[in-house]
Amino acid sequence: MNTTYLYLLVFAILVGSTDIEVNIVALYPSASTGVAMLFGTIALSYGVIVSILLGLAGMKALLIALFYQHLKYEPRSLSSWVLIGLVIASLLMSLVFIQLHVH
Amino acid sequence: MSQDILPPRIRRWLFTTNHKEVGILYLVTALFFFVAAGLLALTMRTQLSVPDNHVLTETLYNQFVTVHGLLMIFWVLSPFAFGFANYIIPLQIGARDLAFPRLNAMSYWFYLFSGVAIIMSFIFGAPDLGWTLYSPQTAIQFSPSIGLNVGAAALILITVSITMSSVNFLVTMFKMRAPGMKLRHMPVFPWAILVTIFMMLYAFPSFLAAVLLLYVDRAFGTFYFSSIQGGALLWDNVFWFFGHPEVYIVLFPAIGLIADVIPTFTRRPLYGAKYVIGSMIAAAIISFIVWGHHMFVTGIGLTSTKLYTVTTIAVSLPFDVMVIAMIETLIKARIKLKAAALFALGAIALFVIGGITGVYLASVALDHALRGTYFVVAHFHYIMVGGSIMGLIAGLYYWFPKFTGRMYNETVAKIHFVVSFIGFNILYFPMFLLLDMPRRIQTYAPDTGWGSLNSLATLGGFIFGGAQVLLFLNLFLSQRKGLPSGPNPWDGWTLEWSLPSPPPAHDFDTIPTIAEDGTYHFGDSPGLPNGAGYPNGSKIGNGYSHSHLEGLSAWPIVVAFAAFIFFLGLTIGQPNNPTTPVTFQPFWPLIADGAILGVIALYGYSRERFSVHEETRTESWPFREVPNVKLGIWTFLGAEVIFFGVLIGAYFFVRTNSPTWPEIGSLFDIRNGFAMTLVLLTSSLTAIMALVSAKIGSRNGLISSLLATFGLGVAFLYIKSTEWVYLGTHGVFSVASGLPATSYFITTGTHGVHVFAGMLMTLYLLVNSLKGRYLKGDHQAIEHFGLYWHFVDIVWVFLFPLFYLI
Ligand code: HEM
Ligand SMILES: [Cu+2]
Repeated sequence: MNTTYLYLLVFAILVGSTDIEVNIVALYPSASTGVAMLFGTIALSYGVIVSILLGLAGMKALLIALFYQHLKYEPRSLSSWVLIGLVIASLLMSLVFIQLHVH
Repeated sequence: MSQDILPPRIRRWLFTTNHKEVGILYLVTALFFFVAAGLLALTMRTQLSVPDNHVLTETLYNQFVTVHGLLMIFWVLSPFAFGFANYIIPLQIGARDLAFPRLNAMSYWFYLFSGVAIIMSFIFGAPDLGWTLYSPQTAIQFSPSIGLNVGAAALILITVSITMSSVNFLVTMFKMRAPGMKLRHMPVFPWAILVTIFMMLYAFPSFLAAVLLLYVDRAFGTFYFSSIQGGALLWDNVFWFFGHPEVYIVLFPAIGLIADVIPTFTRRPLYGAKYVIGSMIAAAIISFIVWGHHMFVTGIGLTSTKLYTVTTIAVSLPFDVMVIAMIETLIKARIKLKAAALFALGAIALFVIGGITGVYLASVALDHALRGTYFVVAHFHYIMVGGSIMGLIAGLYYWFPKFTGRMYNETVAKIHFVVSFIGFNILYFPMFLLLDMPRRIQTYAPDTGWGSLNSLATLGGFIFGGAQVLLFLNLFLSQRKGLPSGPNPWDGWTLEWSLPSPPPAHDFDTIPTIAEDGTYHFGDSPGLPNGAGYPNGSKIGNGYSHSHLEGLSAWPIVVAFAAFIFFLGLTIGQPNNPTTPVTFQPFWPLIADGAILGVIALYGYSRERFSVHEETRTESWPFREVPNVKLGIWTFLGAEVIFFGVLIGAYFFVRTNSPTWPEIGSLFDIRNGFAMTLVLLTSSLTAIMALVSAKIGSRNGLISSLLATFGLGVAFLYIKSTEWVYLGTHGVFSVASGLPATSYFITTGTHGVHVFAGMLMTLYLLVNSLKGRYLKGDHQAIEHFGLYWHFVDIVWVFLFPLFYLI
């Protein structure tokens, strides 16, 4: 595929998923949406929506990294190197999450 | 900029980009700060020598404790090691310089000016709450002095310096090794530095984020650390996430150095060198998940406490491997007890004591009793002074002949060791016994019974401090009058010893080649294992002379100076006893000067023709196909991931701890966020189109894509600023009106600064592409800019849902 078309296609997906993001918000339960419930058990649908939003964001980020930053075409060593930062950041977040939620 | 008005001697030191001279600058500066911080410590010891003493007021004592700790950790230990790394590593891996020599010079000047800033903070009332800067004491109502703000500026500057160095060294070591020098053939010292900068790269961004949040809390009255939702626990997490790797960061260079010194003086290769290196890597990785052992008594919950106990015990295992390897190497060896060897042995012994007491502290039960006492002080001084400083001093004696071509006086050096070692133990051992005396107190009552041990410690302090005078005198006199040392006085095995002392400006006449098995041959010496290599039968001499006045650049020092006054401007305008609510009162003239000078200097920096000679036949696994600059940018972006990760983590933290949070759409208009997202996504498309146009050689395509990217950047910031202004003027939502506002303004603001920086880059690229640059094979700059710009886009891809949609 011509790279320009590829870039346009990626762009279309990025914009499309942003559109999904803003529209999904309408599906929030109209009840209280306090964040105390963010990961709690009560407002499941809130949690589901948050997961979808974060998932979409992750997908968009991945698309940008793979195609616009052309990590897809770089040597495996470089993409693994980039991943290290992400892994360390997620370790930080997960351990803090455990502190906040598991006693 | 005309550099020729200055005399050559001065030009050489101010504008040098040569790794050896930068190394010397680092060493001299680090030793200067060592003396400064040491004098603070001796004053503190004097104050503590007898009960009810009043040499220092309480305030001054607290300032001394704090600045002493900060100076030693940030401005002495790591830069001391960086001095050696700068000078020695290119020689040991067979490279002629670092990958980015001017960036390296810039790192040094940022370091120097940051040190000036931290010392200047005394003018405004220096930070006075311990090097850990625990919250909430750092809140403006408890620490109104702006000295803390100046301290924050200093810490930000040194973090910038360290991050630039990490990127530089990583690229150098990955990409510029001499032919045949596989990673596994590198000596232990470069390995230790590699592991150290790996930790620096990912730990320091967390610190940067922490200090930044602290600064905005104090300057803008935001609430990260002064609210109960964030507060002490948030600080503990972001600080110690950095802090624990940091303690290894200050230790590893010394371990690596010792591991190279011992084999030289025992004439046998390090026992299990592979395992030593493997253990360092393991410890470095685990060091990122043990920080909670500094939070055992903060109520983080039983599960977490257990988790961190386990990881902490796990991280202590690799150290056993390192120590055992060194002991094995020493057993039955006939060691030549030169000063370097003595200091190395002493460092191992003291490090073992420090490490074992650390394991005590990792026990939750013992920690409840011992935390915050002099036992802890003894623990980490045995490691940081006994292990690190003593180890680095070994390096000073070891490489002094290489730096100067002259020998120091061995007898004086041995006396220096004996007195230091005895003084050290008289100084710190009593502190283990003072396990009921709280640390950081200015004085104590006579009936506590702490008096005699304290007097002893003070005595030891003066012995130890006095001993260092011998070191300085010895080195100072010897570099002028010492006997010639020849290239290799110790019969060392690593590559730096194959060169004349001091090495010529360009280091190697021909880049050496290392044999398949990692051995090398030098003169008539047998092939020796596990080290860098000497070229087979190569002659050492000066084939051609590069002068020390080549490769000078004035821009690094100017950029660093601009950053220095910019940050001073940000911090010293604040009134010293601020009223609440805090209002941002910078000193605009300095800020403006700094900004203008900075832009000019960066422009000059990027326009200057400065070519780095790249060898073609280097060993560059695993990044063979990745060009140096690209590897550098990706490495830097890795650090940025942590930086934004911490900002976003802080947002989650305060949000999770808040009982309520404004409803979606009630604060900001989702449509604004949507519009900004579309704008940034489109700008990513135009940025990639700029690259496509450059590659196919379309000048118009390139210019219009860059223009579009710039325009979209303007649009983004425009929407953002209208949103900010709207929120600000509608009262409810100023930056200081609560955590939702705090986290929103600061996180999106930091991102906005990144967008702004990207726009400056597009402007620069635009100017050059108007002149017809970047086409066809010359497109790298466009590509590199894109990597950054898309990254900034990715950050927004997360910020949008996080702030507008959930
Ligand atoms: C290897 C080099 C090490 C260095 C440079 C080092 C340095 C430090 C420093 C600076 C502190 C005090 C922090 C403060 O100011 O509050 C500290 C505390 C501590 N260290 Fe180490 N340490 C090292 C090794 C270890 C090891 C091997 C362990 C455990 C196996 C350990 C366990 C601890 C614990 C649990 C504390 C917290 C003590 C407390 O405040 O109650 N350390 N260390
Ligand atoms: Cu620790």
